[in-house]
Amino acid sequence: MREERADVAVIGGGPAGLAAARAAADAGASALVIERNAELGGVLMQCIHPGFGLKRYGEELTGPEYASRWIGRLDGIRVLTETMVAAVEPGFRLLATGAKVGVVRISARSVVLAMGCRERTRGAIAIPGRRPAGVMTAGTAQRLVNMDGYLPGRRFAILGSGDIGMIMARRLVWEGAEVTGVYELLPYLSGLRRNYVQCLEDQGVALHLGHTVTEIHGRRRLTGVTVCRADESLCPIPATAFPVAADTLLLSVGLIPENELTRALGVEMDAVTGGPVVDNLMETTVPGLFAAGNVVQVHDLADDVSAVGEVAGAAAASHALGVTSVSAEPVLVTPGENVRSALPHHLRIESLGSEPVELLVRVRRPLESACQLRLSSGGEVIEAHRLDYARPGEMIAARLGRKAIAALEPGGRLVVEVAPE
Amino acid sequence: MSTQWESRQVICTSCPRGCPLQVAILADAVRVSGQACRRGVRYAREEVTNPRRIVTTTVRVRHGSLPVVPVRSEVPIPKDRIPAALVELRGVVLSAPVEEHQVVLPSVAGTGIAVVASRSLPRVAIGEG
Repeated sequence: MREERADVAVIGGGPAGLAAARAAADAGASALVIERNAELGGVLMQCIHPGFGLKRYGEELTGPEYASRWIGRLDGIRVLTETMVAAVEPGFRLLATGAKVGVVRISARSVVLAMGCRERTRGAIAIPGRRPAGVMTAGTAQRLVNMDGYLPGRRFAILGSGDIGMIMARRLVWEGAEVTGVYELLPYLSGLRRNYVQCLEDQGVALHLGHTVTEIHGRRRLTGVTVCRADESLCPIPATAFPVAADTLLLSVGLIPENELTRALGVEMDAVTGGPVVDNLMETTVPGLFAAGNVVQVHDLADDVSAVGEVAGAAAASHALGVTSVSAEPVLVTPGENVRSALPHHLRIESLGSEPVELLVRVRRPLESACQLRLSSGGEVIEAHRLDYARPGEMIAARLGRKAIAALEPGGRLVVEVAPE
Repeated sequence: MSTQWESRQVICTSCPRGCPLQVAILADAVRVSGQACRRGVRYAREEVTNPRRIVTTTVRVRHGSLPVVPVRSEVPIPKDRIPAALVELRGVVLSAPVEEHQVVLPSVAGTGIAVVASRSLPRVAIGEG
C-alpha cells in the first residue's frame, strides 16, 4: 500500500482547497491536496460564465480562468487526482483510493476539509408525478452543456431561482434552446440580483415568484409540468394550477454541504448551515481539523471561498508546526433577530489579535430599505453597520473592528441581528 | 425637442453588490444616482447608451480531452452583437491542444473584439478520445 505523509492534508481541490493548500505551504508546512476528479478546480471548471475574481483580482474572470490562477501557483504542493478519501481517522490517518493510485494511506498533522457541496435533488424536494427522463439539477445540465458539449433538451422549465438555475437559463437561450420560465416558491429571489438582470431580464426569461411545480408529466420523457401559485405559508393553491410544456425540468433548489467524512469524525455540526461548527481560524470542534468553503456553508462567491480557504490553510499549518496557543473559552456568535446564520460560530479572542475579523451573515427575510446589522455583547450594541438592503440570497460580510473585539468577553455571546433602522 | 428628463432604473452589475441606480436621460445628458462607487456611474452611462456584456460559450474541439472548450470575449461586446457572435462561434472547430487565452476569433461579429479560450485542453491520442 502506498504511504504519504504531509503536515497538512487538504481534502478537495476546488477553490477552498486550492487556497488552503497555498496558504499552508506559504506558512512553511508541507501540503497535499487530494482530489476525486481527474483535474483540479472543482465546480469552477463548468462555470464558464464571467463574474469570478472581482473582489480578489478586480477583473471579471470565468470559472476556469479563476481556477487557473490558483492551479498555476501550486509549486511545492503535492496533488493526488482521481483519488477519493474514504475515511479520516483521528490523529490523522486518511484512507484514500482511486483507480490510478490504488489504496493510499496518508498521515497528516492537520486536515482541511474542502469537499464543497452538492445540489439538492428531486428526491429531496419530493415533487409528485411520474419518473420520466428529463428532470435533472441545474448543475448537471451545466456540466453536460459546458464540458460534454451536449444539450440535454430543447424546451426547459426551471424550478428555483438559485444562481446556477439563472445562469443556465442564459446559457440555454444562447445555445438556441427555449426557456419557458423560472418558478420560485419563495416570494423573493434566491440568487444574486446581478444574475437576475443578466441571465433572466436580458434574455427575456420570466421569473415567477411565489410559484412552484406540483406535478411532473410524461412517460418516458418529460412532456410538461403543472405549476401552481403558492400562498403565504408556501402551500400550492390547487385552483391556480396551469400546465407548462417542457421536455426538461432543471432544479435549482439549493445546495447541501458534503459532510459525510466530517460527521464520521464526531464534529459538532450546525443544523442550519448543514456544515461543521467552526471558529475564526476555521477550526472545527476537533483540534487540528479545519474546514473551509461550501463544506461549511454555501457561499455566493468563489472569491469569498478562497478567502476562508486561506484562513484555514494558514491555521492548519500553524497547528501542524506546533505554534497554536492554548485557547480560552471562545465567544459564541449567536444569530438574533432576522439572522439565519452568522459565521464563524466561535471567536477565539486570543487569536484575533489586532486584525478585524469578518463575519458572514445570512438573513431570514428580505429587507428592501435601509437597515442595520447590529452586533451586541452583554446586551449592549458594540458595533453597527448600515446596510442599503438585506436579502437572503446575498450573504453579508460584516467586519468586527478592533474596538468591538476588545469589548468581547471570553465565554460570552456576540448576538448578530439585522433589523430596520 | 423634448425637455422632459426620461428616467430609468438600472441595476449595476459591476460587482455582486448590485446597486439600484436611477438614471435620468435628456438628449446626450445622463445623470446617475444611487451608486456606491464610481464604477456605478460608468456602468449606468454605458448601460443606457451602449449596453455591453462579456459573451461566453463553448466551441467544438477535435482530439481534445473534452469535446468542447469554453471561450469568452476578451472584453464586453455590444449587447445587440451577442446573437451574431454566438452564431459565428457555433461554426468554429479547434484542434487540441488548446492553450488558455489562445485567440479563437480575432474579431467576433465585426466588433474588433477577440474571443479567446478560457482554459487549456490537452490533446488525447486518437482512439482514446
